[in-house]
Amino acid sequence: MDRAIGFLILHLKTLKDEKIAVVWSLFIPLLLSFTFRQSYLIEPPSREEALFYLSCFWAYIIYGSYLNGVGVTLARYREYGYMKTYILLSGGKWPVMVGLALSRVALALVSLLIFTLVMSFFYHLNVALFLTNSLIGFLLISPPLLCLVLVIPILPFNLPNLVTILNILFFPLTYLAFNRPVTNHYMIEFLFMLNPLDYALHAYLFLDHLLFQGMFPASPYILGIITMIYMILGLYCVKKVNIASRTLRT
Amino acid sequence: MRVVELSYGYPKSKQPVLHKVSFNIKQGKLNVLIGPNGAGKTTLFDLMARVIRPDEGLLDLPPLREILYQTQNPYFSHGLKGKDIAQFVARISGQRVVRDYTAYEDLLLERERAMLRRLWEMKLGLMSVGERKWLITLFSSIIPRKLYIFDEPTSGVDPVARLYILQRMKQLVADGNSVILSTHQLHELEGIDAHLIFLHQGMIIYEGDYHHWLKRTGIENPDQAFELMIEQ
Repeated sequence: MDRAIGFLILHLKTLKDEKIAVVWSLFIPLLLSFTFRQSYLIEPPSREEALFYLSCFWAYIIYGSYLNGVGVTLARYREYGYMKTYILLSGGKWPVMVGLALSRVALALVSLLIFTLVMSFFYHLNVALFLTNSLIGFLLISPPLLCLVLVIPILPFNLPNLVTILNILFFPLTYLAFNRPVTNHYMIEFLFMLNPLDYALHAYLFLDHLLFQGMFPASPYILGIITMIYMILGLYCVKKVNIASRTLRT
Repeated sequence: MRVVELSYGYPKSKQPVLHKVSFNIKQGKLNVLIGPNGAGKTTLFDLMARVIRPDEGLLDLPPLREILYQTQNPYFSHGLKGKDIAQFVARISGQRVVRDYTAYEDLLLERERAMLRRLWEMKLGLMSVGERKWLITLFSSIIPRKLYIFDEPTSGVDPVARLYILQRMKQLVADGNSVILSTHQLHELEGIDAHLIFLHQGMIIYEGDYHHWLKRTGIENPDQAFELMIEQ
């Protein structure tokens, strides 16, 4: 664990220079949230409307932080030789990955808190309720989403193509997750919820249903199955992450 | 510690890079791996550090957590400062984290102390190649391990930093550690009790004392002796 903390602090110090990560995980969601529902500034939303709306952005912040901050970063580390340096100095893969993951968990958490506070203020929401909701959901969905993004460094694409593909896919997946119809067909719901943004959004709605008897449109069993799929995939992939770059001898 | 009959070929390559390579890592001597560009030195180190798996052979070496392998170009974010590297190394090796460079002065020569003072608050990106390598090698060598592997620690480095790095290697050996490094700078082995391992075309063509090797070739200039060895 000491080694993981060493990497956590190293990554946090590196993050100070990577302002784009903060822009992505905080300023873009704030900007988009004010842009898409300007009416909420005039007529505050109901609790259910606000929860659904904020859950969309909570899912965006969390998954976006992990996709770029952990998945893509690990792929970049491997290609540019950072992975080899770090693992061969520390004697193992786990401290490097855990340290990196914790640094992005910290960033996502801070972004989530600031976002929720700002939105609660402007939309006249119950701050304690929405903060609690956002934090509990964050704790529950972070492990499976972190596991899922471990697939990225083992995908058979070179780094520039990988980043392009992921960025191209990110926004349509976001739109699909937050605007799709709800169905009664389990298989269709399952396929929709394989989209990690859809999964995260429904995890928040399910949590609200459990804690505050809110409406939950999907089956909790689907959420459970997808959680297990993400975890198993991630634990399988972490063993397969190669230390050596595919394109550059280091 | 030894490597026994190690063989390896890259997946898409027709020829193996290494063919039944065997050598010993001597304690009390600086083990130096030499060979022409493309001979397989880095590949051999990657195999020893379990970055890649051999096709055949035995590695009678400590487990990965007891090996420190500094790659040819160690990568750290250029925004990090000298002290960040020091503190990072202290944390991953379970040592006390210090905020002040004076804690390291006992390990250093006078001129090295001045260098560390200067680099402590400097960003890695603003250091010269030699300063960066010296700093990273210094702190890597503080991490306690059974085997140290340094891949060309003095390449691209100015003469002063080169001297300090080699001094660090010699100190590690004197402290009872096993050290192997690769180099193209054969002249720097002059004053060193070096165990030479010469790799060429995937095979070990000489293993033994560096000075004995020079005597055997009958040439004083190590670069010329190297060339003769390859031609033979």
